[in-house]
Amino acid sequence: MSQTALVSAGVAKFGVREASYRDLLTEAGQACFAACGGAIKPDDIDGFIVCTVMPERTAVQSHIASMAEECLGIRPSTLSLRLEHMCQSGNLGIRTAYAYIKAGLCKAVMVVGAEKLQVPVPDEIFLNMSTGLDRDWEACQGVTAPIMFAMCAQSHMRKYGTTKEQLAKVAVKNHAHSVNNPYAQFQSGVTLEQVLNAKSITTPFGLFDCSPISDGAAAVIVTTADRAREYTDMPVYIIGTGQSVHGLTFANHYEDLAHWPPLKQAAKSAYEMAAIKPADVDVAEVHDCFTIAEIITTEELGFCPKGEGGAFIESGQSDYGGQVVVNPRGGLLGCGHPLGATGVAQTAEIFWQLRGEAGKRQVEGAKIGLTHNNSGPTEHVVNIFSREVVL
Amino acid sequence: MTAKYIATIDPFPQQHKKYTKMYPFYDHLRQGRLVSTQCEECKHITWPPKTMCPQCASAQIDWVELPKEGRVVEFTVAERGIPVGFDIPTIFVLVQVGPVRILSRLINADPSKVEIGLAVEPDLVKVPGTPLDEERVLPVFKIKE
Repeated sequence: MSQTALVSAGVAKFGVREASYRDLLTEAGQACFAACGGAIKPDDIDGFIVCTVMPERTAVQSHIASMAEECLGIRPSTLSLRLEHMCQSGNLGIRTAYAYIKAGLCKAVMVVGAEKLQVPVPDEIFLNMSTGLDRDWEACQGVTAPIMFAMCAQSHMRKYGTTKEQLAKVAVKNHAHSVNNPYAQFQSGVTLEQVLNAKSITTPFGLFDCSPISDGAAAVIVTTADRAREYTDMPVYIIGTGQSVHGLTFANHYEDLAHWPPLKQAAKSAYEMAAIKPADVDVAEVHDCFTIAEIITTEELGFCPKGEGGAFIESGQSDYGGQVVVNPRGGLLGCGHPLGATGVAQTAEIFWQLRGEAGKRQVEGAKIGLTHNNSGPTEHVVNIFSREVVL
Repeated sequence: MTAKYIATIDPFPQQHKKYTKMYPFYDHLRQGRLVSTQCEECKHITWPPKTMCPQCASAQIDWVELPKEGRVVEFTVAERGIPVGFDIPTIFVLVQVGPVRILSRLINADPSKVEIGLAVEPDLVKVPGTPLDEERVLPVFKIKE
């Protein structure tokens, strides 16, 4: 059975964009075609996956796969799929493309993630975002994502002594990284004082502890390892993938909000499949929707012992020169978080990093990269990539 | 088309018998009882209420009243980032009520008085209705007197 590889990637800048939903996904898809220098044309793509969460609300459009394919000149003969799994959608799209390629059902799959979250009436934005939570029992109370992650932060701080300064250092690091990312929403950096003195969102989070509301899109092409060599000298191989989901409702899933067992499980699946250890990962794009999320994620991914995520960021182990560079792209905090686009943009970053094409963001000598999305503390997907030839 | 630009959303659940099998929950709540569902076969109690038992897959479920007192397990005080129409600040609480945990709001409370282990009791708030329901209700908590 053939192995699976990424052969091209393109990103449409994240942020408050003067562009429509279809403008954004077209921009990313076109950039992805352009990046491989004409080696792959729309006609060469037989499978298509669009990862997107709420175009029904923000663009009043469903039937997204066909619309996106038409925008990009793609007429799929093997797979046409819209994939929605809230914030996991992007990396789940990569996982799904992997499976279709491995099964022999598709030859070349374009995965596009796209979202248009900025709308003409700002009051709608948080109502729209609340559609991703349990409407009947939690979202109806005004609960949005910050509430859930803030409670996890409170528990982690109480149990392990994690501090607001340690949370803030995640934001400072990731904003420093996004300075070097032309596709990022924020490119000017923030200081520790700015983060700590920012207006409160929900205790213990200030503004910079939270990823912003963003538009954006990203695209990659996944194909068989054999075909990959026809398109590029430097394919990036998908060597591991795992997912674990323990439900939607926040209330009843854990005894301890500071532990995220499904992430541990998804990571274990991916590591075992890739036959690597956490210490083998050189560069990781993880889901820092909130500062606490990066801290808990570095623990559950096994980059540091449980409870030591605060010390891990504080000691610089997740920055350049440390054990593993976490979020060189700038993370969701620095790049913005256009839901379905995020995981695909993370994958694009790992593609560039493992090819040595990440410019000022380059992690020297990176061989193994990891991407991670959550759709809330109870649901996670992890993918692992390698530049080493796998046939 | 003369309608003005509007793209609103109804943030509250349908509660009328015509639209949900959960209508008894709201009927009980209106009468001051916080209930959930219990499996008649394996006795498992869930939150939120469900039309099948997630433990044994039985469809034989019944309504059961939850205890009148719960304890705050976790909380956060929100000042921004919540949908339009909700109070600022809002105190969100994760409450252990007997065998289940419920994520809801603590109403009529001073945020500085909230702490882990605080005793709370169920209450309800009224929210706008629909063409079928004159008003709807949601379960919340207040500090136990």
